Amino acid sequence: MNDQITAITANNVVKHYGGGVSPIVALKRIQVEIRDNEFFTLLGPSGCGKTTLLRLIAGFEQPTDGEILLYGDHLEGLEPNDRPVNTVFQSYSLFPHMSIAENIGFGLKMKGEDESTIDTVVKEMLALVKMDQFGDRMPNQLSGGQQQRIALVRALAPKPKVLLLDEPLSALDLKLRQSMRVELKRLQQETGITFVFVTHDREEAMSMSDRIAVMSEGEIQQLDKPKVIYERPRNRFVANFIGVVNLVEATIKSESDNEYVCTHRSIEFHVDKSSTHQTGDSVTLAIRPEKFDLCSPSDGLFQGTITESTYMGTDTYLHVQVDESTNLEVRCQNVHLEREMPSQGANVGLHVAQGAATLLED
Amino acid sequence: MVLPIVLLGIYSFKPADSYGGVEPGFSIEAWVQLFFDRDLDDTLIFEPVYLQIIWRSIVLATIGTTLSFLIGFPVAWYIVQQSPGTRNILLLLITIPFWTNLLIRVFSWILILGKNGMVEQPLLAMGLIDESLELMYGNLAIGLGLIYSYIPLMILPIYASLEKLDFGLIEAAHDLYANRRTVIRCIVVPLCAPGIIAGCILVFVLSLGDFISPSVLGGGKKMMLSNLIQFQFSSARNWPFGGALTMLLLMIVAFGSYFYIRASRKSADLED
Repeated sequence: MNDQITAITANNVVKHYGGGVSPIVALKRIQVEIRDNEFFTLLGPSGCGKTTLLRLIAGFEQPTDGEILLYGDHLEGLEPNDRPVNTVFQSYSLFPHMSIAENIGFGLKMKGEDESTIDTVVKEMLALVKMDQFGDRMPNQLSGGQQQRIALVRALAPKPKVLLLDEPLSALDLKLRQSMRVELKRLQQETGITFVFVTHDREEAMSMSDRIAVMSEGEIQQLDKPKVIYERPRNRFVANFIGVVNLVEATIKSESDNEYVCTHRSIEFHVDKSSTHQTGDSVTLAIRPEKFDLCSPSDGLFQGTITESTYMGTDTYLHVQVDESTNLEVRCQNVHLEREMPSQGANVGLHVAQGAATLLED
Repeated sequence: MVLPIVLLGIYSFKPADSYGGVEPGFSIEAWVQLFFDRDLDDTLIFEPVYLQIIWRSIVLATIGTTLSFLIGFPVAWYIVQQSPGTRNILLLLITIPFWTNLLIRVFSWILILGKNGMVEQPLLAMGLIDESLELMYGNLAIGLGLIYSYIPLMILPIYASLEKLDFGLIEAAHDLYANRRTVIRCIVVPLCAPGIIAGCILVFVLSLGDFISPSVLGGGKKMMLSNLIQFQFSSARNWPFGGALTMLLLMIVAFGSYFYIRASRKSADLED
């Protein structure tokens, strides 16, 4: 029983560029519901359509077909300045000829608020990002990270119903990005405003989102909580995009009410059942590298030889050749300093817990 | 390039020769002539006629510049929104006036505005007017001639500024509830101020110095500063006075340029 309020609904949204015989299809058919007070992320590689969808919600483009609803109200046909939705742009787009305070207050000024209200809100917004003294400065006097925070509060100042963020962290260096992720998450929870976040960075998506929509070639491949997307990817694309994954070919040997038993060269895997397969089908299984345990060759489900060993500080990455066509990527935590990781050329066994493998729909 | 101007400056302080040219010596007579007439007994009477001519020139140049801006800005705005291929074609069309000789351009206005010209003929034929509108040989004709000659010089600098404009800022302004008119007023115009100012200064200075439009289209009836200077060196044979007038014109131009440099420096700081 879902009594969640829906913030944004996209019904059968299609977007084509250029008419005629062969238009560019940016969005094939998007059907999605974004919930109120949710941190929702559109994740995908360049060209997947995530920014296009964001721009359709903002109003910078109109859908070729389909409808977009904001808390039940139709948005199609409305100009951006008529939509109670604000955007944080990838390049910040701060007005260079206005001061920081004027930038932040711009939206409220356009809405016709009086000066004292604007002043109060501007001060609030500056305090929110701990930049209280920056009101009189000009954008070109700020660092990238500071500009980004101002762009954020400029979009929050008019108290929009939904905040759209178009890869806002991509221009920042790693440390700044990581601290901004925490700040963004905190802001979303504090303000209660629905955030729709666009990124190509899977770590960003996983660390901040309540739900992620993984997109590719104009379609949503999978929409779920970060954990489900990582542990139970729906298909090859999602499995590969969201992290390193091992793909193992198998055949369905038998099925029961809630699981299939698949075999890969006499190794048995029990996987969750999906409705699209039956006994005898050839399928692909996905196993994440951290799901393996090293053991002696006789104890393991897999046996193989280490072809590569890379020390990464927190983990050691191993490539294990288990047969002519299968080379598995394994990630072991470097927990014990004394225990040496097996080196290149060593024979090892690999154990995998049941339930660690996922059947891909492809 | 500087030498002729310096020479004129020197000449303005010399007494005039009866046949044109100058006599050796020093005299501020030329400068006095700007403001005063000498009565038969050598008393100075304030004579405003030259000042009126100068003032009319400035007014006409200002009106011409303003109109050029009001027409030129929307044109530049329209062009910058087209696709690159279309833009190039349109820009080329804008420069067409420059393909023809200035004299021919100006003379062609006589054909358009004159008695039984392109404007009057259809109106007469339709019976809307009974006699000539006398469009020619007046301030209107001079103004049109000036605008037509120089509007490309207004459009091109404005276009150059607009081209450098970050259109993401316009999207951001719309996102923050600004309508089209407000966006142009608060975002576009302030950010292309350098181009606008450059265009205005160019058109103003050239209009002020242009003596062909006033001569041809004014029919010699309306005297402008430019004609006046030219007159001094031809018929009036009063080189010192011509020199003084030239110095005056130079000062007006220098004044305007100073403001342009100041304003463009301010805008350049914003672009850093």
